[in-house]
Amino acid sequence: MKAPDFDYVRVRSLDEALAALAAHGEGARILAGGQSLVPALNLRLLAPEILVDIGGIADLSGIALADGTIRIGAMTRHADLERSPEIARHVPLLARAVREIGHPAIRNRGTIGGSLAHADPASELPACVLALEARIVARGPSGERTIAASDFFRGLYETALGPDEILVRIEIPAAAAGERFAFHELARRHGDYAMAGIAALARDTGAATLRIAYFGIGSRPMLAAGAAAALRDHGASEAGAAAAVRALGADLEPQSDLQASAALRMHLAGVLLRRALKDLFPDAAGGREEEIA
Amino acid sequence: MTLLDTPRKHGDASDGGAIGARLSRLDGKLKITGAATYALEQPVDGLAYAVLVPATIGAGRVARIDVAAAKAAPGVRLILTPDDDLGLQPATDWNNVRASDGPYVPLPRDIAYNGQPVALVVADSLEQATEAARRLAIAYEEGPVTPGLDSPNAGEGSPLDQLSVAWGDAEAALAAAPVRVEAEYHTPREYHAAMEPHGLIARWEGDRLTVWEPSQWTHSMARSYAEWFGLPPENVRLVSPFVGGGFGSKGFSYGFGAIAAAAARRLGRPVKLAVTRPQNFAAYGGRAATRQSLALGATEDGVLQAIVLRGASETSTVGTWVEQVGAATPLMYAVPNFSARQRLVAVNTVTPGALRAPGKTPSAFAIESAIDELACAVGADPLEIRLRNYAEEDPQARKPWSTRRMREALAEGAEAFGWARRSREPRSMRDGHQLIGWGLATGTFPVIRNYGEALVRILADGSAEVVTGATDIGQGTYTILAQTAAEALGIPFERIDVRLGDSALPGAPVAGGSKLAGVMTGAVQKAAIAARDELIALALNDPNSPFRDTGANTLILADGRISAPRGDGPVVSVGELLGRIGRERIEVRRDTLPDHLQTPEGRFRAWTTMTTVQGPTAGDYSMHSWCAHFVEVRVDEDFGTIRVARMVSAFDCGRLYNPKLAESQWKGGIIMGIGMALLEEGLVDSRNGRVINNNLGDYLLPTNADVPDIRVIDVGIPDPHASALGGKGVGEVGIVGVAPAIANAVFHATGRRVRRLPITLDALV
Ligand SMILES: Cc1cc2nc3c(=O)[nH]c(=O)nc-3n(C[C@H](O)[C@H](O)[C@H](O)COP(=O)(O)OP(=O)(O)OC[C@H]3O[C@@H](n4cnc5c(N)ncnc54)[C@H](O)[C@@H]3O)c2cc1C
Repeated sequence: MKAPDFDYVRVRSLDEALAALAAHGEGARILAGGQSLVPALNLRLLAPEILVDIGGIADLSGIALADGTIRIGAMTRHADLERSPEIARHVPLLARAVREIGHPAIRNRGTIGGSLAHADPASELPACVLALEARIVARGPSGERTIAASDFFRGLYETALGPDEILVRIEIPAAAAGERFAFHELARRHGDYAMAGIAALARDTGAATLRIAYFGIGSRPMLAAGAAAALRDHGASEAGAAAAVRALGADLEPQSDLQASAALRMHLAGVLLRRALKDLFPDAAGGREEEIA
Repeated sequence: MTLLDTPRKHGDASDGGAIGARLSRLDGKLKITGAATYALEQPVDGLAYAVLVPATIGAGRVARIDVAAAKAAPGVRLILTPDDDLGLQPATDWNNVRASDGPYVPLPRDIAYNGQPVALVVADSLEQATEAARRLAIAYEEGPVTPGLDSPNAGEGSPLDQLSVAWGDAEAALAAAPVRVEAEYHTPREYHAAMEPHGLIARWEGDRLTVWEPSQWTHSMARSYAEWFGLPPENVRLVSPFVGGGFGSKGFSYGFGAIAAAAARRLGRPVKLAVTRPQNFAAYGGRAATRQSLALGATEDGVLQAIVLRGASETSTVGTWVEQVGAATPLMYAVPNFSARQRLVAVNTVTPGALRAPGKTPSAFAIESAIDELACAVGADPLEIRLRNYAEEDPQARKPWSTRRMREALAEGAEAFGWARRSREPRSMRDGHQLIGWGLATGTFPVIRNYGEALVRILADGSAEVVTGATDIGQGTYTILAQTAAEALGIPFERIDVRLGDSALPGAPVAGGSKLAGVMTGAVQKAAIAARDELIALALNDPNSPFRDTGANTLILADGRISAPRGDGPVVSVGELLGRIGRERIEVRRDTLPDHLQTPEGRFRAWTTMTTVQGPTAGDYSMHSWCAHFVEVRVDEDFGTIRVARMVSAFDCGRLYNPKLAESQWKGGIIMGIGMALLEEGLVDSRNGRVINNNLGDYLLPTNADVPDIRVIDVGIPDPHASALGGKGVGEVGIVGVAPAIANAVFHATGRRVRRLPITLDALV
């Protein structure tokens, strides 16, 4: 099918983009990599009046490290993250996760800003930025504001961004010495969106700073705060793992769809957590594999 | 000519351009460069664009359609609804039976399934037609829906007595057997999901109709159009030079074709109808869902005493399609007592249809799973139990096999796979979290024979042409017919041109039932030999021929050159000879029809119906292709995710005309089998009978990354009874047995027996 009629403008600056958004209100849509938006247009799920293509705004792309923070421009492509030595070194969780997004052709076009703004609950990057305690920087008519990742994802395809705002960059604390991460996802078929996935990060060698984020489970990416607290309380041990898995019941709101029932998702979430803990704490309680079974 | 006359081939480059060589597909480059023109890409002037409007209820009737808003939309030329009398007559079915209680109404008011066409909107552009279709106001009266085979209101259906098979006293032998395994097996609705969706362009010139439509059977589809519109058959031409996958779905004309052609006639303008991807899940039927209750009785050693099968499959409320669940069951093993019965359950779906290896595929899932269960019950190796029950002749027809190299397939497959290293116990092989399972299952597909017709031309430049209405749906007809002609004519493969896929060309059966290669190589060989003989006769007798006075009584044609057998006379190229004797071309048309079909009626029936088909036991032998699949799966113990890690499959398909193409057919079938085992399932909304996952994002087919290393092995020998050149069918047998091989491997990995396809995570965790 073909998209319904729309106008198109390729802007050269953020100001131009904001002006276009202001002029058209809800009728305008930002076009980034187009990998989610264009299929939605072609399926006629959306019928915007105008697409505001931000691909020509040079300073929206790029990866920079300063003052212990990695700044990633919203238009940075998945493939750039995948190949970036800075990301590999300072945000290894992202480097790992981005490989699981679709197929190379999708990663060549899709952007991190688009992925976060689109807020597909099965997407990898939203869960990663939750685990990473990233800050999401948006620019609107009244200037820039910074939104904590944990305040950003509101619901199914729903974020804290206003219709007149543009996501401009993501700021992530660079990995500290001893930082560890774990990442797993499941799909019945290679390259598909995950039916369940986990991104977990510990800023040091213990469980005290552990953050556990899930994707593909509920209507939005979710932090499993209860599970993390259980591990802080019990330590990285079998007892801690068991308590953490129990805590998932209160942390998560799994949903049923064509791929999996809510009950199966809950089971998978528990297995994912155990797998992640094993990656994070291989030495837990003397380093014997069975410690976290 | 018999098999013995054909030179021995090694299947490698030393064979040159003829039969048995590993040549790439003639149409391959055209397809990958976009130069092959598919039906909907035909440049036709003045096209109008049609959009099909599907019903959104599962059963009931169209109360009214308000077309005013749609008619007023820009560019709209025509709207057809159940209120329009299209004036069509019924077409003949493949049994050569024509319903007499016409008219034919492809846009009926009564709705039998969700997705049934309720209107056609035609406009100057696709976008205009799409928008206008959206503006139709359709009011339905909804009736009760029976969404699927397992729905509570579906009932038991009606018995299909003509499919009952019995010998011995199976019930008694089962009751008396010391070992019994009994279980119920289920396969879901599956879809062809060919890369090229369906659709057509219909153009009228007076009372002549040309249809460009992807086709597995140009002559029969053209006949349907002719009968619908009350035209003499020669007034309809159906053109289909390239097809982007058919798998059984493109052998017939469907209601959407009749509606679009009727619209083109009304408008006096050619009409293009592209059936959208979602509509491809209801515009024609996929494989019917099935259910089989299967019981095996055996001795303590696992020697079969009885097989009892009670099966059911779904059909629609408006048509009959039987997915024959007992198609493979009686053939696989020697058994003294056998009983199979099947019921047919009508539900609110489009009438299902043929999908690669119909019947055989669900049938093999049950019997090949059950025999594995029996092996476990008696503590035998799955390979060993198959040898203990080896069928030395066709147990049902009581006829000798023409060829059955199943022992060789099992032995060579096992050797290549390393089966001997398998540890017997389930859950006994693992790699970290991954449970490893090795499974085995076998498959079969009948040799079906029919007749064909071909025209061979030798041209003045020394090249040759092969012409027939048969189609190449990707299986390699272009290539093997060129190979056949090259060998028979002694003209290099590169100089043979093949024209296919047009009902105006010589007759051919459907590219289905894995028979086209066997049928058409026979017809082409016959025509080519006749053309060669005519050329040689001219060379010996024409006053201007250099061979006239050589005293030779025959000549040799090789590499495009003619010479005397003793090698002492002149050597001239074919083109040169034709020039000298003043001939532009030699043209010969031959068919393989028997005498009783050499009438206009007989020929028409042979090319347009299934009534001249001969089944696998029509002669003195029982003839089938055979295969054995060996699979390694890796199952994540906690997640339940299944990956097929490697496969080895050995095939007996008789002689291979082109091993490269045969292997690609086998692998394609195996990949489809992986999809069947693990991914494919039409999910139906129980409220309204809609196929929910009617797109390629949600109807899961394996991607390349889901397909492991597949090794295929050829153990066949030429089968002189099966076809003129000794081949048996290769196109369908590959899928048969893959799903049970995977299910058996999953059992070996996990200890869980999954009897419902596809095998999903929740069955394992
Ligand atoms: C076949 C296929 C498979 C895929 N598989 C996966 C997968 O496995 N995992 C996964 O995560 N994704 C997957 N994707 C989606 C892909 O990652 C997209 O790139 C991503 O979801 C959106 O990024 P984009 O740059 O393409 O955004 P677009 O499609 O251009 O935009 C998406 C939405 O975000 C808005 N938007 C974009 N940029 C901004 C911005 N800077 N500020 C405010 N709003 C903005 C747009 O207006 C639009 O509403 C897949 C896509 C396809 C087609």
